[in-house]
Amino acid sequence: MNTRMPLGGYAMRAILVCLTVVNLYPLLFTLLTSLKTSDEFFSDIWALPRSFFIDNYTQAFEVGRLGEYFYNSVVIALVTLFMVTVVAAFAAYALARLQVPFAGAIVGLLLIIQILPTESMVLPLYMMMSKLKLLGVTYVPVTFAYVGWLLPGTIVILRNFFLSIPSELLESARMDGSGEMSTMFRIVFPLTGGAIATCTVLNFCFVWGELLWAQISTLTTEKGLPLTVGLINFQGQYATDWGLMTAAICMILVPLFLLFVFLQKYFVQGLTSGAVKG
Amino acid sequence: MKFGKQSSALTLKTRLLGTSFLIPALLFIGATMVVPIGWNAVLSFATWNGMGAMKAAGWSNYTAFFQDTVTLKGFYYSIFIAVVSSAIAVLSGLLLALLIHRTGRREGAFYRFVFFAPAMMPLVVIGLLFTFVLSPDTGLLNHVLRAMGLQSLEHAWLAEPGIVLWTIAVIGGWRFSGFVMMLAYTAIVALPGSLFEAAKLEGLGYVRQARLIILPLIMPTIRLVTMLMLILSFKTYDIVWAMTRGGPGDFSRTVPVRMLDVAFRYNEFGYSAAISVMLTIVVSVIIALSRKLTKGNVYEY
Repeated sequence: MNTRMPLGGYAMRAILVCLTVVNLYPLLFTLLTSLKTSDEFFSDIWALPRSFFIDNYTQAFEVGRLGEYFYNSVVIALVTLFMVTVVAAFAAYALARLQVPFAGAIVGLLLIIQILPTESMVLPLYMMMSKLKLLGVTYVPVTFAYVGWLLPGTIVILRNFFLSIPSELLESARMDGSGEMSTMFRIVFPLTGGAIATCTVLNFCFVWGELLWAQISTLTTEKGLPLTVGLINFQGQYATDWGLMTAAICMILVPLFLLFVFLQKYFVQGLTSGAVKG
Repeated sequence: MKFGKQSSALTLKTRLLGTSFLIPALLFIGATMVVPIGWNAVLSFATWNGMGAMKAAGWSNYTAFFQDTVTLKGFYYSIFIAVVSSAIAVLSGLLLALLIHRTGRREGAFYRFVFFAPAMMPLVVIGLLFTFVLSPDTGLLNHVLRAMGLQSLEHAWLAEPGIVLWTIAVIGGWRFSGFVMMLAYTAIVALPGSLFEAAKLEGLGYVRQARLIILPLIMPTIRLVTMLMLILSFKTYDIVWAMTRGGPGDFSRTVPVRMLDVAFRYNEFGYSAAISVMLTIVVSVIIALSRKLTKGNVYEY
């Protein structure tokens, strides 16, 4: 017989609270450091900031060009997400409902290709882009590769969703004389919101955090650097200026946290829908 | 029967429409994945310095590969990081899920939020954050250790050869533990409550409930998650680059970091391609192995 249940409950809670502190304190510490001058930081790292010091932020924004990088990342993310969603939605619908030949084989290939490491694609992509003289063109090389890489996972998720729409619904639309196109636009796509949101959140996480290709494809240019590359350069320049560094980190994390708070539902759905890329 | 001809014409039309919808996606995937992978394989049998013409080189890149200790060590580092951080992520994620399952609704939601948050932070940012937290003189961790009187445990976490790999692997595992927690938690919540009622009547404590009921029943999820973790943790570029750039010396020069060095610093693109082909093979083998090893019964309930 187990009568120690409440005690066990307290122990569990204690563990969870400890872990929460371990998880959150570094973030809080980073936030506090970003609000201090370097003198304050080096004299006592534990102390709370004496005043609300935002110089670090304005400096990171201007001198470190983080504002520009931020803008670039937003543009890249928006274009990528839009293209991926549109192209994937059509392809997924075709694979799910339009009796494309070899649909099963294509889906199988998509699943496999999605697992292969992108490391085995970046060199030839770099060569292709340089042959086509696209390396200097702002945003294009980065976005192009991202769209291609994100398509397989997105198509698989959306296809599963389309398959889950009862075929009676589509049948009856057909009976009523609706063509494939209007069935798709009037009946299927309006139902797809949730699935698309899920994919978008997942894909956003990938695009926002990708470093390898972003770095390679912008080796020869100063323009259009996304945030990840910008941050790495920033680190190279201001490595031990912790006030600036922590301000930069907070600038990236705050919008992400806000997004996360509002879209948590879709994050979780994205996980359970079995997506791999990330 | 009467409609036979008409409906087959309809099918053909549907098929054509479907194929035309599919083509843009296939073009993109072909151009960014299929063609590059093929080209990469070809390139691995050539020497090319980034300019000029490629020369066929037979197997020489691969023979060079097996004699290049820096690269071979890189494979060891990458595999070490992938395996250790997957193990940490899966074990701690399961533990968190089991703990959170026992708390109330509101509380549980809060903990899930806290522990899942790192999983959506970009690895670069996590890397930078930890260069700050772990920096030897001004870092938070060493300060905490000092404050607790544990000076002997202080380390230059990212600059000591024996420690740097563990540091990277633990951070990677921590980052993904929330991911595992979320998936495991969803699986646990989906289990029928009657199972737990029965267990309670039998007087089973939570630890034994977890061991005898929950874990065996969510085994399929655990297997899936383990695979996912291995796939994800082989991406050892971002975090390593942000934290150590492959250092100290070569002691965290994982495969992708080495690959880019070979290509863009030494201009040996063919050899770099050979390294990435080997990486693809190793990753596929490990994923296939993990699939075999974790195969098991699925319980009906």
